[in-house]
Amino acid sequence: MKKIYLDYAATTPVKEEVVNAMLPFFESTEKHESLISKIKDDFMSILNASTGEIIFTSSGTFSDNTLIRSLAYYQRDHGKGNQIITSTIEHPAVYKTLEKLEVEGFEVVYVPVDQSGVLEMDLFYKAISQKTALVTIMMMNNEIGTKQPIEEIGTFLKEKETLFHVDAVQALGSMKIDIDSLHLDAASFSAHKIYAPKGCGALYVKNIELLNFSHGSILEPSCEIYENIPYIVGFGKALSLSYEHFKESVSHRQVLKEKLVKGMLSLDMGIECNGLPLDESSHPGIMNFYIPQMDGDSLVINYDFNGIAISSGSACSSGALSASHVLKAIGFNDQKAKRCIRITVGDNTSMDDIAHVIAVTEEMLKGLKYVK
Amino acid sequence: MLNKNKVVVGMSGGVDSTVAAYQLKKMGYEVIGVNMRLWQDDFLEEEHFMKDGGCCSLSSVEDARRVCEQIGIPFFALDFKGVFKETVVDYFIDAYKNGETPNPCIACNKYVKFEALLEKAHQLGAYYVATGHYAKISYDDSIERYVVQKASAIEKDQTYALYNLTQEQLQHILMPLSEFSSKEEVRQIAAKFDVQMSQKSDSQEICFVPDQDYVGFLKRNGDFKIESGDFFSTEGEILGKHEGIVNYTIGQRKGLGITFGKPMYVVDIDPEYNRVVLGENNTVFKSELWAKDVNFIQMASIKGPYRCEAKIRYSAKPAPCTIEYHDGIVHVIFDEPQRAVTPGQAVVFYQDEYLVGGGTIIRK
Repeated sequence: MKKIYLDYAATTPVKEEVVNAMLPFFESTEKHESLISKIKDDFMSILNASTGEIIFTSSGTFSDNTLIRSLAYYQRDHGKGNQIITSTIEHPAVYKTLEKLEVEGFEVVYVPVDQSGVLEMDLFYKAISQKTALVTIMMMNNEIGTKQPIEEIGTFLKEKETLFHVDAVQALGSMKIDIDSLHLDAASFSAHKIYAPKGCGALYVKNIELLNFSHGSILEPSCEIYENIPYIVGFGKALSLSYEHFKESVSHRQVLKEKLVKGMLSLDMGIECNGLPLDESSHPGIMNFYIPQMDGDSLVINYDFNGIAISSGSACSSGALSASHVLKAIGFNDQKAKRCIRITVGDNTSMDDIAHVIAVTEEMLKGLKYVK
Repeated sequence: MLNKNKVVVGMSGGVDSTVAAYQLKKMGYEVIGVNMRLWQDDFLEEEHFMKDGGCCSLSSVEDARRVCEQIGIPFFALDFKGVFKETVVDYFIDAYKNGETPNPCIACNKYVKFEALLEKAHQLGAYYVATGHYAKISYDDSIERYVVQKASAIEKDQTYALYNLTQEQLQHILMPLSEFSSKEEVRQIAAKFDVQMSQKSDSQEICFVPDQDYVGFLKRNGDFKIESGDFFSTEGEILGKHEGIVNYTIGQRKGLGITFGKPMYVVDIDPEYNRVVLGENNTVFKSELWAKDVNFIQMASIKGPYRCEAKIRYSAKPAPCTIEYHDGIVHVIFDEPQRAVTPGQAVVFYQDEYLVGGGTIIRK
């Protein structure tokens, strides 16, 4: 059976060019300091950050955790407030960290999103105050693909003492990230979403003094640490590739996305598309469908039986899924939220794949009753 | 539409479900392994669930996954936390609140394994759901009904917890362990899999209370206060203080916290007045009981007095009795008085090896 992978928002296959770039460094014992520093410079220039630092980490989750904890404590220790503002649709890497900080005495305000998953800015402005130490908002949502108004937030916070962190894990490679014009203080990235290996991430921080690794759990950067050179090289290569082919990759995915969204809706089987899939600003590859006939986990299994790999939301440790907090945040009840699937297209997806998915969906749902 | 050769097996990672899946695969079925995620008690997560704990433990997912790989069947972990909470955990808590002693396995079989999981199986195109229960299900042409018989491995027989399944449910259930004559045989088959399970102990009584401290569980999860009250004698005198009715069950002698100079037993629990009544041994015996939520397997219903045997708890011996059924309540009159008839527990009726039906014992 033909296998079709449509879960690029979960992880991506490593590109051949990336593998080739990495290979020479596995057997090397040198530190390649100048190479690493060049890769960091490339990151800075691709992301248009004129000041600050890139630090490589073990994952996007690690970057989120370290940054949020460091920034929150830095602010509190310097008498700059105890409140953190975030959205109701953040990735677990962020909201689990915030839950922990709440236990440690921080006040966390969860600003809701509208029906399409975009932050309610009027409520955001209401929430912000003198005591707001940190704002952490994702750039693009990993489940429904909507983009958050980070430009507006960045501009608003520009002259304020409140720090601004973005989780840019899903955005990297899928939208132009301009750190200077967004006035970001910190951002998190992950390698394996852009065709580099898993187990590698990066963080950007404008002022290195904000970072305090004792609030996270890694070694002080001044310590003698051995960097994961092949992975960093792979990440660097993947990032350059993604920016070289940025326009074509985005438009390739947008075309496929539009075809799939329209195809699914035209089946006339009650399928709905969540978020703003056809909006120019949304993630080019992420789609989220409500399918009334069946639970999301059963759909994932049925697609799997047909050789199609998709997901029903962000995976949890045991592999079983509860109703997505993102879908609940856009107003779905538990039952509706459980009847949703996420499909993400990537650089390797073809028009034939999309046609096949639509055909399989039709076959699978044919004759099943549902409430309109 | 549904494929009669396709079966979803609930996989706990333990001996019984593993062998059930393996047997079905050998019989030529297209088998899909599913680990049901049922409950997560953060309080106990670190202490117990990572060990060889109940079937809810995280390690059970990995065991089930490995076993499915070795059998050569697809594996999925699916979320049943919502339905489990509503139909099993809430019921468990309410029963204690009402002074009863619940049997959560029976509720889980009815609403989770053979309803929610069966629905999932149907969504996956499978006609059947299978489990590692010890019981025999067959179709009796002469009465045109699905019937349930005790398992060949009689000491492991689990028909007690299956009395309330409907004909519709039974039609879609396979229990491949029914033919094994002992658990030992099942363990021997399980031993060939590369998981440390053939040595695993049999499941605990309440899988979501792995430390067995159900009172602690009720304190953390219950929506009511456990308040101390008075012990009464059967004559109505106050004998002392009890620590809250949830701490006691009918027939209990140990752990009353007071000594009386003679053995005293819990004979009644009155939730309305928060009383626990104690009596001497002879008062623990009752020759009749009433039960609600009655289900019959062998027949649609019974007319007039019906002779059979009844078990008033999982481990009880079947006792001869006569039953009558009126207005949804079954009245059971035993030939010999029975010890510790416990509201909340099931009374289950048998005709020789056949499961006749049963109900939930009520306080009268």
